[in-house]
Amino acid sequence: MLSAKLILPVALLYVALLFGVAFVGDQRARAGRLGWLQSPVVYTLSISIYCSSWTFYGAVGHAARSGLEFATIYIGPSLVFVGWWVVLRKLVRIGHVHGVTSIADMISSRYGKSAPLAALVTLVAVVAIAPYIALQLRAVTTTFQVIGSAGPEDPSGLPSAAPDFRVAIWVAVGMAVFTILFGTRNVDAKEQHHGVVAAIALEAVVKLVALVTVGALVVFGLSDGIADSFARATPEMLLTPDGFGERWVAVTLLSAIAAVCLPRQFQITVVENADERHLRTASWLFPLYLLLITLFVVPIAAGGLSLLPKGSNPDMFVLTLPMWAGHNDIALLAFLGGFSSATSMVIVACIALSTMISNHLVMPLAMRFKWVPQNASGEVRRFLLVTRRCGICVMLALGFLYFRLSGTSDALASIGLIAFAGVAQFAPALLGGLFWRGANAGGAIAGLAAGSALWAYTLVLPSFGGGVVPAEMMQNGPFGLTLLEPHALFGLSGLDPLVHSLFWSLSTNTLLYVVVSLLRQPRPIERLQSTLFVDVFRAPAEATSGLIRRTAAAEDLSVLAQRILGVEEATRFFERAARDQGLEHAPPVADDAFISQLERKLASSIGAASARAVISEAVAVEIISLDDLMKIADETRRMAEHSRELEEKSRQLEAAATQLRDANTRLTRLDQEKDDFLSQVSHEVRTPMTSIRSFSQILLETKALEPASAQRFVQIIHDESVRLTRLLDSTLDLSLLERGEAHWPRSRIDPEAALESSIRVCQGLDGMRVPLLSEARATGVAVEANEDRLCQVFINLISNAIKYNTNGKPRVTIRSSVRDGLYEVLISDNGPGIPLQERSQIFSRFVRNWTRPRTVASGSGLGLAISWQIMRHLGGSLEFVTTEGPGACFRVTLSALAAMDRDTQGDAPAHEKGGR
Amino acid sequence: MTPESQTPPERSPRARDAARVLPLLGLFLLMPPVITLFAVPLHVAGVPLIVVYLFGVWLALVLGAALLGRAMQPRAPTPPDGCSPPS
Repeated sequence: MLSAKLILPVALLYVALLFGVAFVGDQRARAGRLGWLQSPVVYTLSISIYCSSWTFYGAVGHAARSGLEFATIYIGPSLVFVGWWVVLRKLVRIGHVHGVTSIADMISSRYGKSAPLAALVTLVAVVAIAPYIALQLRAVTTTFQVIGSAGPEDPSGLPSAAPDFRVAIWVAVGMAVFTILFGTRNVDAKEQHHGVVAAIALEAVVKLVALVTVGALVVFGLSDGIADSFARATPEMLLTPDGFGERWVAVTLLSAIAAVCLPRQFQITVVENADERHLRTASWLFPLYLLLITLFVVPIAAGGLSLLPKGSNPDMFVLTLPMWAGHNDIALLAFLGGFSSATSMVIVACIALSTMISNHLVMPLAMRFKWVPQNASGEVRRFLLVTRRCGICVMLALGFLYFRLSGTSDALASIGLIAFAGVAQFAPALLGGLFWRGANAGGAIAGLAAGSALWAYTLVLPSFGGGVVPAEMMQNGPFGLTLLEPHALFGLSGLDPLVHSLFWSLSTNTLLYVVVSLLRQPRPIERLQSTLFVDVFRAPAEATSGLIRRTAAAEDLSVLAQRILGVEEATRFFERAARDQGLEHAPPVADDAFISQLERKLASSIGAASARAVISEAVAVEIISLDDLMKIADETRRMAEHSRELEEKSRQLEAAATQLRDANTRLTRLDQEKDDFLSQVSHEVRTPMTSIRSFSQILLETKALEPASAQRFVQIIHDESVRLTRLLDSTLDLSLLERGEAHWPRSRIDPEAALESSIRVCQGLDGMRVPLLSEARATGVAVEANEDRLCQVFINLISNAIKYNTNGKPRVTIRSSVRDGLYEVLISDNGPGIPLQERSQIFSRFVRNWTRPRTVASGSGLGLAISWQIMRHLGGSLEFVTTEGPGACFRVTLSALAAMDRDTQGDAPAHEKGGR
Repeated sequence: MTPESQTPPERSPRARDAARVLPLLGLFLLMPPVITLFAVPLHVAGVPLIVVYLFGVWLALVLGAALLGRAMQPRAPTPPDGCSPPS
């Protein structure tokens, strides 16, 4: 039998121990000797605040009432931690990168630092968590009474007597003092609360040891081993017909969400996380902790049901079983375990919620209505600390109030599940925001507001029971509107109330979140934040400063920082920033990076939304570069295409290199040709110029010159001038041709006529010295050409054949024919021919014929080149034909428009003959 | 600027995929209809089959997570980016 006289000192001693541990932890952290305080094991143990007194006492009660269903509340979080790589890792990384202070801060930051959204999240959290705190207060109060007053002859636990609210008040006050002492030492909410973490890690060990000890007592002390302890469990308890139905799935889902969305879980897992790698350990150690703490739940429940008198409160089995068995020491340990689980939950929940209340509810109002003196430095900091402390008291007061108002009949589990369902409303916005870029603040607010309203109406309201909600309304809906019946909304009846509420609230929440997000165009700041959050593993935080361009006076920022951080800290921050910028004894330059840095710093005190608001006041211009934003957003796609692009690029580079090599070769050749051309022109011009100069000089200087000689000299000068003019004309001609600027009228002509006239011209040219033999000739052909130019080509070829023919019996043969729609003329001679090595160059400029007879009438050296270009322009060709015998042979080809009947001789026009 | 270039390669990229699949496997095994297969009045060494199955899968998940956590550990200890608290 334990007396109240013994319980109180033990409880107080234990509390003193907790204070001591928290104090030592804080001192060590301040001295920088973190050591074990920052180990992954301590981190994991602190996460186990998930197991509140609801677990410690409630799990057994839950198992006694609904069998194995209690396990779902621990399976959900286990799965989330086992799958840490997907969600938790991203949350923790974002928490570190953006200095997130709470779940409200996280959600509002993601949606463009929206202040209304942060306030809404905070309100929902306060409403959801107040009953949860009430649950803890009730558990501690009840156990105090049970262990202190109930004797072994009446170990049934409550409700034998009304709860003693005086105990509850003292418990609440004690928790408030502890939380204020160790939870609000710093205004920087991002700074870890090492003292608190150390204390709750100790409490985590105590509650696990206590529950396992009670379990061992039941299994090995009160029963005859494991098999015997399970034999006490009725088959109905473990194998309820609908034990694995809708509720099993719904509660697993709910608890998985709660492991992330509960403000206290978010606080410990994300905000208090010191090192991302600790998650790796927590991923298996936390599920193991949950497994161990639930391992003995079924045996304890079965033992309680079979051993204790009928009507005993199953929620108190953990405490009443050892008492019934006379093991007061174990009962005391169980009491301390329950006390630990309740206090640790309340402390962390209060820290998390007070931060949210002060940052997202009070601070925006204070800024708007100027509650804080504008000029006093550090005033905001003091104001924040006061509101945090008030927030803690308010939460405990709300919890106490709920405890006072609500009936005492509710099982612990159902209150806990109501809170779970409330915070589950954060899930669409929180999880969607991690992976869906398009989600925006409008969708998040609409979904959260509608979901929470439905949750409150279908779950919270009915939980108050008959005292607050008339039974009439529960039965038939408000004002007799059966469609609005809280437990059968819109006629959806037959479902478990929890599943019913979850269905309506979460589906409406998600639907509105998605639809409104799709309908609404996000603001630039929302797009910026969504990119930073979704791509947190790809885009470094430093990239932000380039995306958002702001200008502000460094002085204004300094005043602002001093107001919020206090003079000392603000000065330290500015000095460090100046040092980083390489400035000594000067204020830092207020560039984009510095403003972003300062905003992050302020956000860790007052939350992202308020920090953005105060910075915006000081900032003169703000531009968010959407282009840069798009670049970061595209990073994802770019990553996927990266390797493919690389391959493509190397292929392109190779091709480009080949092309460059070719182009270089071509250019070199062209350059060479140009050089050759210039030197050739110079040379060609120089020869006649020299003769002209020398002969004119003779004429000038020689006074008594014979008239005959003078006449000869003048003749030479004249001839040379003519040659020079011809050369220049040809050069001009060629350059026009090469540049494609020569335009001649083309018409349908008879090429044979042109050939005939060319032959006649050439016969006149050099007398009858060289016989021109016309062999087989085409007849009645028409081509599309310019007659003058075609004649020029023929004359050039025939005259070349005549001029350069060194044969003793010179002869030029001309043939023409039509073959395959092509009109061709062959002009051959019996001269020396063209040496093999020169054949490839004969159509180039200034490559004169194989031998160069030095005659005045010799050509410009451009004849063949011009002819070749003319034929190209006419759409035909000029080629050198390799022949068997001596001499050269050239072929002129043009496409024939219409070939005449081969047999038909005569001079009739082509089209008339064709018409017959 | 790939993340792979910033952090040293993990021992096995397959471990990462497995880490994504493991919770889904757990969900599959612990949700109806699979779990209802074991909700039969049978006992294993005096312990109801459903209890053995439930805690067995749970323990397997713990072991799987622990092994995968080891497999995914980077070869060299890396300073986690952005982990320094903003003092």
